[in-house]
Amino acid sequence: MAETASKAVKKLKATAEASRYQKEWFKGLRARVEAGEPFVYANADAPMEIMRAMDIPFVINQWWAAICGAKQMTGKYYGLLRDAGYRDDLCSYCATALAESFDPDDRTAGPWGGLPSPTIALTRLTCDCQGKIFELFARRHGADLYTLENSVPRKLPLNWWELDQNDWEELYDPDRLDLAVEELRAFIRYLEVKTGRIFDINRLRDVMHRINEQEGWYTKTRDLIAQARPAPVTVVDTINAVMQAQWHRGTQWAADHARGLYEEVRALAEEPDRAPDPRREYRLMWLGRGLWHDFAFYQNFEEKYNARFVWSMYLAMGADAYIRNHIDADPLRALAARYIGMEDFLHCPPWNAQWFLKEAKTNGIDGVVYMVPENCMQAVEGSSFICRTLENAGVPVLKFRADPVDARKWNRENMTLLVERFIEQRVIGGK
Amino acid sequence: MGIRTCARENAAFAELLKHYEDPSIHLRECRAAGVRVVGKIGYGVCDELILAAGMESAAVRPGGAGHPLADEYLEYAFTEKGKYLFDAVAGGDRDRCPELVAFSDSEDLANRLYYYLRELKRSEPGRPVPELTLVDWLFSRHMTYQGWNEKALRRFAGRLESWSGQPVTDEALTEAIALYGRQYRAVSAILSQRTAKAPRLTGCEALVVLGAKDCMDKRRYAELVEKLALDVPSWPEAGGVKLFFSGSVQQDLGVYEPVEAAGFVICGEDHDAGTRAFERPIRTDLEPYAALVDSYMLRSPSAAKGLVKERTQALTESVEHTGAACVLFYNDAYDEAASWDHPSQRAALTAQGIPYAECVKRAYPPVTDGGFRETLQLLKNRAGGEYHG
Ligand code: SF4
Repeated sequence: MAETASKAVKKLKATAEASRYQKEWFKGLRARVEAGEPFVYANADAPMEIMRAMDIPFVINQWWAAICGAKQMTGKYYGLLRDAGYRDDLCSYCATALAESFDPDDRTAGPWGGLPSPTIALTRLTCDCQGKIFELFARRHGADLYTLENSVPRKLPLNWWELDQNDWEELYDPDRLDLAVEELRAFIRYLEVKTGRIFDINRLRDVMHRINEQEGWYTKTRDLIAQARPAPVTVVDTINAVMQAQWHRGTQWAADHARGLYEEVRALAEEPDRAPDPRREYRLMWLGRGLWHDFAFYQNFEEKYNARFVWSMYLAMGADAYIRNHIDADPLRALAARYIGMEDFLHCPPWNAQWFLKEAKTNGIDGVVYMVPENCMQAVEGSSFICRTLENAGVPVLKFRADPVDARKWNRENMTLLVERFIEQRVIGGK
Repeated sequence: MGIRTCARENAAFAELLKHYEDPSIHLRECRAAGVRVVGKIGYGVCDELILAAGMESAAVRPGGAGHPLADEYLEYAFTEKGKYLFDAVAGGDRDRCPELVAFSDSEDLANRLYYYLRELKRSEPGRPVPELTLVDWLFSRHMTYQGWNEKALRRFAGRLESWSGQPVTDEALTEAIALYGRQYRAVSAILSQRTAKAPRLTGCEALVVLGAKDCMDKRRYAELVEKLALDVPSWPEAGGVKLFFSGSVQQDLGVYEPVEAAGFVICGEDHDAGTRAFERPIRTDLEPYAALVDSYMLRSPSAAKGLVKERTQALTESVEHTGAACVLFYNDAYDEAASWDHPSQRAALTAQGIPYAECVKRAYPPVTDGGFRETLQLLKNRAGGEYHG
C-alpha cells in the first residue's frame, strides 16, 4: 500500500500480490459501478459480510484513507476540505474520503483513478463525529446514509479472546446481540429494496466459513512469528498483506492468499541457511493504527539496533477477533458477535489492555511503541491503563501522538530520535 | 445583563441561585437527612427514576482547583471539563460528587468517562471511586432503538433499586412523572418570557432556573419555579441583541455572563444544560417507561447525536422560535463534533440573513479575553446593535 510514497522494503510475494489484486479489483469495481451496479462505502467495523453475501461491492473507509495517505494525497485533500469551510484539523483518519470528494480532479488525479460514487454510505455510530462525516460524504456523492448503532459492553472480560470464537453468548450481554441481529435484519431488508438483490442466508454461511478459513491461516502465521527467532517478517509486510486481504474477507481469494502468506512466512522461518544477525534481536510491538504515510519508518531501527517491529494489531486481530465457530445454527447472530466487539476490544479498557499484554507475552515483546492518533476526539481508549498494564508486566512503552494518514505534521527525524532513545534507554538499557 | 437586581431580589429566584452557585448545599442536606443521592453525568439520567427509587439526584459539575488525576489517567483528547469531572468523581470529595454516579452515553465524553472510571475502580479498588452505572441510550431516531431504550431504562431502574433498597413501582414512577409535569409547566411559562418579543428573562437567569433543578430537592424546585412563573412577567424587559447560543454545555455562567455583558441577551441554546431539558413533556397517557423514552429520546437533536441535516433544521427553527437576531457558535477544545455541523448551519443562517460568529477550541475555565470580546463586537455590529462591553 505504501510502496509509492515510502521506501519500505517488503520481502513477501504475498504483500506484492495483495497490492496487485487490490488494484485489479478496484479497476473491476469501477467498471461495475459505471455499469450501474450498487456500491457501498463502509466504515471498517461495519458488517461487510452482508454485502459480500449479496455480491454488492464495497470499499472500506479506513483502508481507503490508508491508500490516500500512502499516495501522499491527504495534504491536498485537507486543504480542499478547509476551502469548503470545514475544519482541516479534525478526524483526518475518518474524513479523508469526505475531503477527497471536494477534489474536482479526483477521476484523473485520485488514487487508482479516484473513488467512484457509492450508492450507500454505511457506518456505525461509535463516536460523535462518525455519523456526521458519513452523512456529509453521502451528500457529496448523492448516496444514501445508513447507520448502525453501537451499544456499550457491561461485561468486562479479562480474556475475551478465549471466549469470542465459541462462547460469544457468554462474552457479550445477550441484549446487545439481540439488538445487533435486529439491526442486521433491518439493514438486509433495506439493501434488498434498494438494490433489488436477494439476501441468501446460505451464501452468508459460505462467506462466514471462508472467513474462518482465512483467519485460521492468520492464527498460524501470528503464532509462527511469535515463536520464530529471529522474526521471519516484520509489520511492513504483514500489515499490508493482511489489511488488504481482510477487505476481501469471505472470498476464496482472500482465504487462499492467507494460506500463501502463511506458507511463505513458514518457508522463511525454516530457511536452513538464513544468516541470523549475530546481535540480539529486539522485538517491538506497534500499537495503534498503521503509519500509512511513512511505512519505511518501521524499518529505521533494524540496521542500527536489530530492533524490529514484529507485531501489529492487524495480523493479531485476524487471529483472535474474527473466527466464529459453529456458525451454521445462526449465522446472523455469529456475525453480530463478530462486529459488535470491534469497538469493545480496541477502545474499551480492560478488553484492549489485557489483550495487548497477552500478545506482548506470547510474542516475546521487548518494547512497545504506541501511537495515539492525532485529532481523533475518540482517541481515548484508556491508553494510560494500557501503558500501566504493560509496564507493570515489565514491558516498556513509548507513547506518542501522530496522525496515521496526514503527513503534514510528521517529523520523521524527531520521531526516529524519540524511538532510538527509547530503544537505547528502555529496551536495550532495560535488559 | 447577566443576573439583574429584579431577579436577585426575588425570593424564589434567590433560592434557586443559592443552590445553583453552591451545589454542595444539596449534597450536604441530603447527607444530613439520610437521603442517598445519585450524581449525574451526561444528559438522559432520568430524575424521575431516581426519585421513584426514593433517592435524590445532583449533576456532577466541572470545577475545582485542578485535575491531577485526569492528568495521570486521561488522554489529551478529553475536554477540560471532562478532566475536571474525572477528578470530581475519582477524588472522593463527597461535597462535589456523591457515592453513586450514573452516566448517560448522550455524548462520547460521558461514555468515555464511564469507561475510564469503571476501569479505575476495577484496577485500583483502593481509590474512593463511587458506585457507577451507565444508562446506555441510543439516540438514533428509529423504533428499534425506542425498544432498546425502554429496556435500558428498566436496567437502570434495577440498578437504582439495588442502590436504594426500594423498588421502583409504577405508582412511584407515575408520581415522579407528575412532579416533572409541574416543573415542566412552570418552567415553560418562565421560558416563554425569554422568547417573547420583549424578553423578561436573561440568558444567565434562564440558565440558573434550568440548572438549579440538578442542584436541589426536586419537590422544592417545583414549588420555587411555580412561584417564579407568577413573578417573571412583571420583571422589566431584558434589553439587548437577541442571541442564540449553539455549542458546548454550560453548567455555570462563565461564558453567558461576558456575552450578555457585551449587550446581548441569550434567548435560547441547544446544549444539554439549557432548554432541552424542558423541551418535551413526559406524556402521562403512556406506560411510564415508554413515556420517558418519548420525552428524552425525541427532544431536539443534540450536537453529539444529531446528524448535520437535523441539526441545521433544528437551529433555523430555534432561531425563528426564539426571535434571535444572531447566533454564537461556541465549542470547547475537543468538544468538536458540532464543527461538522457548522458549514451547513452557517449556510442556512446566511440564507436567512442571520449573522453568526464562531468560536471553537475554547478553553475551560473560559478565557473571555480581548479576542473573544472583539468577536462579540463584530457579531453585534453585524446584528445591528451597539456594543456595550
Ligand atoms: S472522533 Fe476519531 S473515530 Fe470518530 S470520526 Fe473522528 S477520527 Fe474517526
